[in-house]
Amino acid sequence: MNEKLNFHDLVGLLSEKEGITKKEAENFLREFFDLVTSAILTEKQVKIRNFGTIKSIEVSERESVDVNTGKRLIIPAHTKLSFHPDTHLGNMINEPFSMFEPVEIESDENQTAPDKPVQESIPDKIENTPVEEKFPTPLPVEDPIPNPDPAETVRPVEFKSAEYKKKKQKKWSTSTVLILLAVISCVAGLYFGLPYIYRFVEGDEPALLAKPSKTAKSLPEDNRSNSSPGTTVSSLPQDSVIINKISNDSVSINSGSEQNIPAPLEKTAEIKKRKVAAGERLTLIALEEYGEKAFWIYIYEENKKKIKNPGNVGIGLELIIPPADKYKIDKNDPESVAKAKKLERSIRSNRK
Amino acid sequence: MNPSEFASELRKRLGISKAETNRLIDATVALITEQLQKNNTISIQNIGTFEVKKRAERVTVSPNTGKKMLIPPKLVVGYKVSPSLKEKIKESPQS
Repeated sequence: MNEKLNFHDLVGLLSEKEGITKKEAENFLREFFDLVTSAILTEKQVKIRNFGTIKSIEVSERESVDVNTGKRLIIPAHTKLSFHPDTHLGNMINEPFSMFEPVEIESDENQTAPDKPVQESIPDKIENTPVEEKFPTPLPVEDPIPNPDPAETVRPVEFKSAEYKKKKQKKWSTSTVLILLAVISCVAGLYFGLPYIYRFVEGDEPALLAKPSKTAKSLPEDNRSNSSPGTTVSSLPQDSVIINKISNDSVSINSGSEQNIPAPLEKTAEIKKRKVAAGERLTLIALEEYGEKAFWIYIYEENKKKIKNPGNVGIGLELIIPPADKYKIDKNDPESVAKAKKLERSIRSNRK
Repeated sequence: MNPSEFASELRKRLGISKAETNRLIDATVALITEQLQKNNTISIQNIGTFEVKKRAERVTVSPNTGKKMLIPPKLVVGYKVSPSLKEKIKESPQS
Protein backbone atom coordinates (compact mmCIF):
# COMPACT_ATOMS: atom_id res chain seq x y z
CA MET A 1 0.00 0.00 0.00
CA ASN A 2 1.25 3.40 -0.95
CA GLU A 3 4.52 1.95 -2.05
CA LYS A 4 6.52 3.47 -4.75
CA LEU A 5 7.38 0.82 -7.29
CA ASN A 6 10.21 1.30 -9.65
CA PHE A 7 11.30 -0.57 -12.72
CA HIS A 8 13.04 -3.32 -10.80
CA ASP A 9 10.06 -3.95 -8.58
CA LEU A 10 7.98 -4.38 -11.69
CA VAL A 11 10.50 -6.82 -13.13
CA GLY A 12 10.36 -8.93 -9.99
CA LEU A 13 6.59 -8.92 -9.88
CA LEU A 14 6.24 -9.78 -13.56
CA SER A 15 8.67 -12.65 -13.41
CA GLU A 16 6.82 -14.04 -10.42
CA LYS A 17 3.48 -13.67 -12.02
CA GLU A 18 4.32 -15.12 -15.40
CA GLY A 19 6.77 -17.70 -14.27
CA ILE A 20 9.62 -16.33 -16.33
CA THR A 21 13.13 -15.51 -15.28
CA LYS A 22 13.98 -12.09 -14.05
CA LYS A 23 16.21 -11.61 -17.00
CA GLU A 24 13.44 -12.33 -19.44
CA ALA A 25 11.10 -10.07 -17.57
CA GLU A 26 13.64 -7.29 -17.42
CA ASN A 27 14.39 -7.62 -21.07
CA PHE A 28 10.77 -7.51 -21.96
CA LEU A 29 9.92 -4.57 -19.77
CA ARG A 30 12.92 -2.60 -20.91
CA GLU A 31 11.92 -3.07 -24.51
CA PHE A 32 8.34 -2.37 -23.61
CA PHE A 33 9.05 1.02 -22.07
CA ASP A 34 11.70 1.82 -24.59
CA LEU A 35 9.19 1.25 -27.33
CA VAL A 36 6.70 3.47 -25.53
CA THR A 37 9.25 6.25 -25.34
CA SER A 38 10.30 6.00 -28.94
CA ALA A 39 6.70 5.72 -30.09
CA ILE A 40 5.87 8.91 -28.27
CA LEU A 41 8.83 10.61 -29.81
CA THR A 42 8.23 9.42 -33.32
CA GLU A 43 4.50 9.04 -33.55
CA LYS A 44 3.38 11.48 -30.85
CA GLN A 45 1.03 8.90 -29.48
CA VAL A 46 1.03 5.38 -28.22
CA LYS A 47 -1.95 3.36 -27.29
CA ILE A 48 -1.74 0.24 -25.19
CA ARG A 49 -4.69 -2.05 -24.94
CA ASN A 50 -6.51 -1.90 -21.62
CA PHE A 51 -4.05 0.62 -20.35
CA GLY A 52 -4.52 3.88 -22.11
CA THR A 53 -3.05 6.41 -24.42
CA ILE A 54 0.00 8.52 -23.93
CA LYS A 55 -0.02 11.44 -26.22
CA SER A 56 2.20 14.36 -26.80
CA ILE A 57 0.27 17.53 -27.30
CA GLU A 58 1.68 20.68 -28.72
CA VAL A 59 0.88 23.80 -26.77
CA SER A 60 1.09 26.95 -28.73
CA GLU A 61 2.85 29.99 -27.43
CA ARG A 62 0.88 32.26 -25.15
CA GLU A 63 1.28 35.41 -23.21
CA SER A 64 1.23 35.55 -19.49
CA VAL A 65 2.09 37.88 -16.66
CA ASP A 66 4.82 37.22 -14.19
CA VAL A 67 3.16 37.07 -10.82
CA ASN A 68 6.11 38.56 -9.00
CA THR A 69 7.19 41.33 -11.30
CA GLY A 70 3.92 41.98 -13.11
CA LYS A 71 5.76 41.97 -16.40
CA ARG A 72 4.31 40.43 -19.45
CA LEU A 73 6.12 37.43 -20.71
CA ILE A 74 5.65 34.95 -23.42
CA ILE A 75 5.43 31.31 -22.61
CA PRO A 76 6.98 29.66 -25.64
CA ALA A 77 5.32 26.91 -27.55
CA HIS A 78 6.08 23.54 -26.06
CA THR A 79 4.88 20.00 -26.03
CA LYS A 80 3.31 18.31 -23.10
CA LEU A 81 2.51 14.69 -22.50
CA SER A 82 -0.94 13.63 -21.57
CA PHE A 83 -2.06 10.27 -20.39
CA HIS A 84 -5.60 9.19 -20.93
CA PRO A 85 -6.46 5.98 -19.15
CA ASP A 86 -8.40 3.33 -20.98
CA THR A 87 -11.98 2.81 -19.81
CA HIS A 88 -11.04 -0.59 -18.52
CA LEU A 89 -8.20 0.79 -16.44
CA GLY A 90 -10.33 3.68 -15.28
CA ASN A 91 -13.11 1.37 -14.15
CA MET A 92 -10.71 -0.93 -12.37
CA ILE A 93 -9.11 1.94 -10.52
CA ASN A 94 -12.39 3.55 -9.64
CA GLU A 95 -13.86 0.31 -8.36
CA PRO A 96 -13.94 1.38 -4.70
CA PHE A 97 -16.10 4.33 -5.65
CA SER A 98 -18.04 2.68 -8.43
CA MET A 99 -21.22 2.45 -6.43
CA PHE A 100 -21.60 6.20 -6.43
CA GLU A 101 -23.83 7.73 -8.99
CA PRO A 102 -24.48 11.35 -9.73
CA VAL A 103 -27.30 12.48 -7.50
CA GLU A 104 -29.73 15.20 -8.22
CA ILE A 105 -29.87 17.75 -5.48
CA GLU A 106 -33.10 19.30 -4.38
CA SER A 107 -32.93 22.89 -5.40
CA ASP A 108 -33.10 25.36 -2.56
CA GLU A 109 -36.04 27.32 -3.75
CA ASN A 110 -39.12 25.23 -3.82
CA GLN A 111 -40.47 25.54 -7.30
CA THR A 112 -43.47 23.34 -6.81
CA ALA A 113 -46.47 25.49 -6.35
CA PRO A 114 -49.70 23.89 -5.32
CA ASP A 115 -51.62 22.81 -8.32
CA LYS A 116 -54.30 25.07 -9.41
CA PRO A 117 -57.65 23.41 -9.85
CA VAL A 118 -57.92 22.18 -13.37
CA GLN A 119 -60.94 23.70 -14.96
CA GLU A 120 -62.08 24.08 -18.43
CA SER A 121 -61.44 27.58 -19.52
CA ILE A 122 -64.20 29.69 -20.87
CA PRO A 123 -63.80 32.39 -23.42
CA ASP A 124 -65.23 35.27 -21.47
CA LYS A 125 -64.29 38.82 -20.86
CA ILE A 126 -62.92 40.58 -17.91
CA GLU A 127 -66.17 42.24 -17.11
CA ASN A 128 -67.72 38.87 -16.85
CA THR A 129 -65.90 37.65 -13.86
CA PRO A 130 -65.84 40.35 -11.31
CA VAL A 131 -69.46 40.54 -10.59
CA GLU A 132 -69.25 43.16 -7.96
CA GLU A 133 -70.57 44.52 -4.77
CA LYS A 134 -71.83 43.37 -1.55
CA PHE A 135 -75.44 43.18 -2.48
CA PRO A 136 -78.03 43.00 0.20
CA THR A 137 -79.48 39.66 0.97
CA PRO A 138 -81.15 38.68 -2.20
CA LEU A 139 -84.80 38.01 -2.36
CA PRO A 140 -85.50 34.77 -4.02
CA VAL A 141 -88.49 36.20 -5.78
CA GLU A 142 -89.02 34.71 -9.17
CA ASP A 143 -85.58 33.40 -9.29
CA PRO A 144 -85.54 30.93 -12.13
CA ILE A 145 -82.95 28.94 -10.34
CA PRO A 146 -83.55 27.89 -6.79
CA ASN A 147 -80.40 29.38 -5.50
CA PRO A 148 -81.26 31.96 -2.91
CA ASP A 149 -78.41 31.39 -0.58
CA PRO A 150 -75.63 33.92 -0.84
CA ALA A 151 -73.05 31.30 -0.04
CA GLU A 152 -74.14 29.41 -3.06
CA THR A 153 -73.86 32.46 -5.13
CA VAL A 154 -70.29 32.74 -4.20
CA ARG A 155 -69.29 29.34 -5.34
CA PRO A 156 -69.69 29.76 -9.06
CA VAL A 157 -67.64 32.87 -8.90
CA GLU A 158 -64.85 31.03 -7.23
CA PHE A 159 -65.09 28.42 -9.85
CA LYS A 160 -64.62 31.09 -12.39
CA SER A 161 -61.72 32.65 -10.67
CA ALA A 162 -59.95 29.35 -10.86
CA GLU A 163 -60.40 29.37 -14.55
CA TYR A 164 -59.13 32.82 -14.54
CA LYS A 165 -55.84 31.79 -13.15
CA LYS A 166 -55.57 29.22 -15.84
CA LYS A 167 -56.05 31.75 -18.49
CA LYS A 168 -53.63 34.21 -17.15
CA GLN A 169 -51.35 33.65 -20.10
CA LYS A 170 -53.91 35.15 -22.31
CA LYS A 171 -53.10 38.77 -22.67
CA TRP A 172 -55.79 41.33 -22.60
CA SER A 173 -54.65 44.54 -23.89
CA THR A 174 -55.37 47.29 -21.44
CA SER A 175 -56.87 49.45 -24.11
CA THR A 176 -59.51 46.89 -24.98
CA VAL A 177 -60.48 46.64 -21.38
CA LEU A 178 -60.69 50.38 -20.95
CA ILE A 179 -62.82 50.79 -24.03
CA LEU A 180 -65.17 48.12 -22.84
CA LEU A 181 -65.43 49.74 -19.47
CA ALA A 182 -66.17 53.07 -21.04
CA VAL A 183 -68.92 51.57 -23.17
CA ILE A 184 -70.41 49.89 -20.17
CA SER A 185 -70.56 53.00 -18.08
CA CYS A 186 -72.09 55.02 -20.90
CA VAL A 187 -74.82 52.58 -21.58
CA ALA A 188 -75.38 52.07 -17.92
CA GLY A 189 -76.26 55.69 -17.52
CA LEU A 190 -78.81 55.47 -20.25
CA TYR A 191 -80.54 52.27 -19.46
CA PHE A 192 -80.83 52.10 -15.80
CA GLY A 193 -84.18 50.88 -15.25
CA LEU A 194 -86.56 49.00 -13.17
CA PRO A 195 -89.12 48.46 -15.90
CA TYR A 196 -86.68 46.61 -17.95
CA ILE A 197 -85.71 44.40 -15.12
CA TYR A 198 -89.30 43.69 -14.43
CA ARG A 199 -89.83 42.65 -17.92
CA PHE A 200 -86.85 40.59 -17.77
CA VAL A 201 -87.57 38.74 -14.62
CA GLU A 202 -91.15 38.20 -15.43
CA GLY A 203 -90.14 36.12 -18.31
CA ASP A 204 -90.20 38.36 -21.29
CA GLU A 205 -86.93 36.76 -21.96
CA PRO A 206 -87.43 33.11 -21.36
CA ALA A 207 -83.94 32.31 -22.36
CA LEU A 208 -82.54 33.72 -19.21
CA LEU A 209 -80.26 30.87 -18.63
CA ALA A 210 -79.39 30.11 -22.16
CA LYS A 211 -78.64 33.66 -23.12
CA PRO A 212 -75.70 34.98 -21.31
CA SER A 213 -76.26 38.66 -21.68
CA LYS A 214 -78.18 40.43 -18.99
CA THR A 215 -78.73 43.82 -17.60
CA ALA A 216 -76.83 44.91 -14.65
CA LYS A 217 -78.09 46.91 -11.82
CA SER A 218 -75.99 49.02 -9.68
CA LEU A 219 -76.86 49.58 -6.14
CA PRO A 220 -77.37 52.75 -4.24
CA GLU A 221 -74.45 52.04 -1.98
CA ASP A 222 -71.94 52.39 -4.66
CA ASN A 223 -71.78 55.19 -7.12
CA ARG A 224 -68.98 53.72 -9.08
CA SER A 225 -70.75 50.58 -9.96
CA ASN A 226 -72.00 50.18 -13.42
CA SER A 227 -74.64 48.29 -15.11
CA SER A 228 -73.65 47.15 -18.45
CA PRO A 229 -76.13 46.59 -21.13
CA GLY A 230 -74.82 46.33 -24.56
CA THR A 231 -71.92 44.19 -23.73
CA THR A 232 -72.18 40.88 -25.31
CA VAL A 233 -70.42 38.24 -23.44
CA SER A 234 -70.65 34.55 -23.59
CA SER A 235 -71.17 33.30 -20.14
CA LEU A 236 -72.00 30.18 -18.29
CA PRO A 237 -75.04 29.21 -16.38
CA GLN A 238 -73.16 30.21 -13.27
CA ASP A 239 -73.01 33.73 -14.55
CA SER A 240 -76.65 33.69 -15.13
CA VAL A 241 -77.30 32.64 -11.62
CA ILE A 242 -75.44 35.53 -10.23
CA ILE A 243 -76.89 37.84 -12.72
CA ASN A 244 -80.32 36.77 -11.81
CA LYS A 245 -79.55 37.41 -8.25
CA ILE A 246 -78.47 40.87 -8.96
CA SER A 247 -81.50 41.44 -11.06
CA ASN A 248 -83.67 40.35 -8.22
CA ASP A 249 -81.86 42.55 -5.83
CA SER A 250 -82.33 45.40 -8.09
CA VAL A 251 -85.97 44.67 -8.34
CA SER A 252 -86.35 44.80 -4.64
CA ILE A 253 -84.25 47.82 -4.05
CA ASN A 254 -84.21 50.04 -7.00
CA SER A 255 -86.88 52.33 -8.07
CA GLY A 256 -85.13 53.37 -11.19
CA SER A 257 -86.66 55.40 -13.94
CA GLU A 258 -85.23 54.26 -17.16
CA GLN A 259 -86.38 53.02 -20.45
CA ASN A 260 -86.89 49.50 -21.43
CA ILE A 261 -84.24 47.82 -23.29
CA PRO A 262 -85.61 45.68 -25.98
CA ALA A 263 -82.67 43.57 -26.77
CA PRO A 264 -81.68 40.77 -24.49
CA LEU A 265 -78.08 41.56 -25.16
CA GLU A 266 -77.19 42.87 -21.78
CA LYS A 267 -75.18 41.62 -18.98
CA THR A 268 -74.83 42.33 -15.35
CA ALA A 269 -71.55 43.44 -14.03
CA GLU A 270 -71.15 45.59 -11.06
CA ILE A 271 -67.56 46.37 -10.80
CA LYS A 272 -65.96 48.18 -8.03
CA LYS A 273 -62.94 49.99 -9.19
CA ARG A 274 -60.44 52.35 -7.82
CA LYS A 275 -57.49 54.14 -9.16
CA VAL A 276 -54.12 53.73 -7.64
CA ALA A 277 -53.16 56.98 -5.99
CA ALA A 278 -49.63 58.13 -5.47
CA GLY A 279 -47.92 56.17 -2.74
CA GLU A 280 -50.54 53.46 -2.67
CA ARG A 281 -49.64 49.85 -2.77
CA LEU A 282 -51.71 46.76 -3.21
CA THR A 283 -51.33 45.94 0.45
CA LEU A 284 -52.59 49.38 1.48
CA ILE A 285 -55.56 49.09 -0.81
CA ALA A 286 -56.33 45.69 0.60
CA LEU A 287 -56.05 47.02 4.13
CA GLU A 288 -58.52 49.72 3.28
CA GLU A 289 -60.92 47.54 1.37
CA TYR A 290 -60.91 44.41 3.43
CA GLY A 291 -59.29 45.46 6.65
CA GLU A 292 -56.37 43.11 6.24
CA LYS A 293 -53.42 43.65 3.97
CA ALA A 294 -52.83 39.96 3.36
CA PHE A 295 -55.77 40.02 0.99
CA TRP A 296 -53.90 42.16 -1.51
CA ILE A 297 -53.21 38.98 -3.36
CA TYR A 298 -56.83 38.76 -4.47
CA ILE A 299 -56.70 42.23 -5.90
CA TYR A 300 -53.61 41.18 -7.72
CA GLU A 301 -55.28 38.03 -8.97
CA GLU A 302 -58.16 40.07 -10.26
CA ASN A 303 -55.93 42.54 -12.06
CA LYS A 304 -53.15 40.27 -13.08
CA LYS A 305 -53.30 41.33 -16.67
CA LYS A 306 -52.73 44.93 -15.80
CA ILE A 307 -50.13 44.46 -13.13
CA LYS A 308 -46.79 43.37 -14.31
CA ASN A 309 -45.07 43.65 -10.99
CA PRO A 310 -47.27 43.47 -7.91
CA GLY A 311 -44.58 45.26 -5.97
CA ASN A 312 -44.85 48.30 -8.16
CA VAL A 313 -48.30 49.32 -9.28
CA GLY A 314 -48.43 52.27 -11.56
CA ILE A 315 -50.15 55.41 -10.33
CA GLY A 316 -53.52 55.99 -11.94
CA LEU A 317 -53.98 52.35 -12.84
CA GLU A 318 -57.59 51.37 -12.50
CA LEU A 319 -57.94 48.30 -10.38
CA ILE A 320 -60.90 46.04 -10.03
CA ILE A 321 -61.57 45.35 -6.41
CA PRO A 322 -63.15 41.93 -6.09
CA PRO A 323 -66.04 41.59 -3.68
CA ALA A 324 -65.15 40.15 -0.36
CA ASP A 325 -67.58 37.33 -1.01
CA LYS A 326 -65.80 36.19 -4.08
CA TYR A 327 -62.75 34.91 -2.26
CA LYS A 328 -64.44 34.45 1.10
CA ILE A 329 -62.46 37.32 2.42
CA ASP A 330 -62.92 37.77 6.12
CA LYS A 331 -60.35 39.55 8.16
CA ASN A 332 -61.65 38.01 11.36
CA ASP A 333 -61.23 34.51 10.04
CA PRO A 334 -57.66 33.34 10.54
CA GLU A 335 -58.23 30.60 8.01
CA SER A 336 -59.13 33.07 5.33
CA VAL A 337 -56.05 35.13 6.07
CA ALA A 338 -53.89 32.04 6.06
CA LYS A 339 -55.33 31.02 2.73
CA ALA A 340 -54.46 34.38 1.26
CA LYS A 341 -50.92 34.15 2.54
CA LYS A 342 -50.53 30.69 1.13
CA LEU A 343 -51.70 31.88 -2.25
CA GLU A 344 -49.28 34.74 -2.01
CA ARG A 345 -46.41 32.38 -1.38
CA SER A 346 -47.30 30.17 -4.28
CA ILE A 347 -47.57 33.12 -6.61
CA ARG A 348 -44.29 34.48 -5.39
CA SER A 349 -42.54 31.23 -6.05
CA ASN A 350 -44.15 31.01 -9.47
CA ARG A 351 -42.89 34.39 -10.36
CA LYS A 352 -39.30 33.49 -9.62
CA MET B 1 0.66 3.93 -32.69
CA ASN B 2 -2.23 1.65 -31.96
CA PRO B 3 -2.12 -1.46 -29.76
CA SER B 4 -1.56 -3.97 -32.54
CA GLU B 5 1.20 -1.91 -34.08
CA PHE B 6 2.72 -1.63 -30.69
CA ALA B 7 2.57 -5.39 -30.18
CA SER B 8 4.07 -6.23 -33.55
CA GLU B 9 6.84 -3.70 -33.10
CA LEU B 10 7.65 -5.16 -29.70
CA ARG B 11 7.62 -8.65 -31.15
CA LYS B 12 10.13 -7.63 -33.79
CA ARG B 13 12.44 -6.15 -31.20
CA LEU B 14 12.29 -9.14 -28.90
CA GLY B 15 12.17 -11.86 -31.48
CA ILE B 16 9.46 -13.80 -29.67
CA SER B 17 6.18 -15.21 -30.84
CA LYS B 18 3.08 -13.12 -31.31
CA ALA B 19 1.12 -15.02 -28.68
CA GLU B 20 3.95 -14.66 -26.23
CA THR B 21 4.19 -10.92 -26.86
CA ASN B 22 0.49 -10.39 -26.38
CA ARG B 23 0.53 -12.47 -23.26
CA LEU B 24 3.36 -10.46 -21.78
CA ILE B 25 1.82 -7.13 -22.73
CA ASP B 26 -1.44 -8.11 -21.14
CA ALA B 27 0.39 -9.38 -18.08
CA THR B 28 2.29 -6.12 -17.76
CA VAL B 29 -0.82 -4.03 -18.08
CA ALA B 30 -2.62 -6.25 -15.61
CA LEU B 31 0.28 -5.97 -13.23
CA ILE B 32 0.35 -2.20 -13.41
CA THR B 33 -3.40 -2.03 -12.97
CA GLU B 34 -3.21 -4.34 -10.01
CA GLN B 35 -0.51 -2.28 -8.36
CA LEU B 36 -2.38 0.92 -8.99
CA GLN B 37 -5.45 -0.63 -7.45
CA LYS B 38 -3.38 -1.27 -4.38
CA ASN B 39 -2.75 2.43 -4.34
CA ASN B 40 0.89 1.95 -5.27
CA THR B 41 2.76 4.41 -7.35
CA ILE B 42 4.63 3.14 -10.35
CA SER B 43 7.61 5.14 -11.34
CA ILE B 44 9.57 4.17 -14.41
CA GLN B 45 12.65 5.91 -15.53
CA ASN B 46 12.42 7.66 -18.85
CA ILE B 47 8.64 7.36 -18.82
CA GLY B 48 7.28 8.93 -15.70
CA THR B 49 5.09 8.18 -12.76
CA PHE B 50 1.65 6.64 -12.66
CA GLU B 51 -0.35 7.11 -9.54
CA VAL B 52 -3.92 7.04 -8.38
CA LYS B 53 -5.49 10.29 -7.37
CA LYS B 54 -8.79 10.97 -5.83
CA ARG B 55 -10.96 13.47 -7.54
CA ALA B 56 -13.24 15.09 -4.99
CA GLU B 57 -16.98 15.14 -5.34
CA ARG B 58 -18.46 18.32 -6.68
CA VAL B 59 -21.75 19.98 -7.49
CA THR B 60 -22.57 20.88 -11.05
CA VAL B 61 -25.58 22.29 -12.78
CA SER B 62 -26.76 20.32 -15.72
CA PRO B 63 -26.96 22.61 -18.73
CA ASN B 64 -29.82 20.59 -20.16
CA THR B 65 -32.17 20.45 -17.24
CA GLY B 66 -30.78 23.19 -15.05
CA LYS B 67 -30.80 20.82 -12.13
CA LYS B 68 -28.05 20.62 -9.61
CA MET B 69 -26.18 17.37 -9.61
CA LEU B 70 -23.77 16.00 -7.10
CA ILE B 71 -20.95 14.30 -8.93
CA PRO B 72 -19.48 11.60 -6.70
CA PRO B 73 -15.79 11.34 -5.90
CA LYS B 74 -13.68 9.37 -8.31
CA LEU B 75 -10.35 7.65 -8.42
CA VAL B 76 -8.31 8.37 -11.50
CA VAL B 77 -4.88 7.49 -12.77
CA GLY B 78 -2.57 10.39 -12.95
CA TYR B 79 0.55 10.48 -15.01
CA LYS B 80 3.54 12.69 -14.60
CA VAL B 81 6.18 12.81 -17.26
CA SER B 82 9.69 12.06 -16.23
CA PRO B 83 12.10 14.95 -16.70
CA SER B 84 14.27 12.93 -19.06
CA LEU B 85 11.39 12.13 -21.39
CA LYS B 86 10.32 15.73 -21.28
CA GLU B 87 13.77 16.78 -22.29
CA LYS B 88 13.81 14.31 -25.13
CA ILE B 89 10.51 15.59 -26.42
CA LYS B 90 11.80 19.11 -26.32
CA GLU B 91 14.82 18.14 -28.31
CA SER B 92 12.95 16.08 -30.83
CA PRO B 93 12.13 17.98 -34.00
CA GLN B 94 8.72 19.57 -34.02
CA SER B 95 6.51 18.58 -36.82
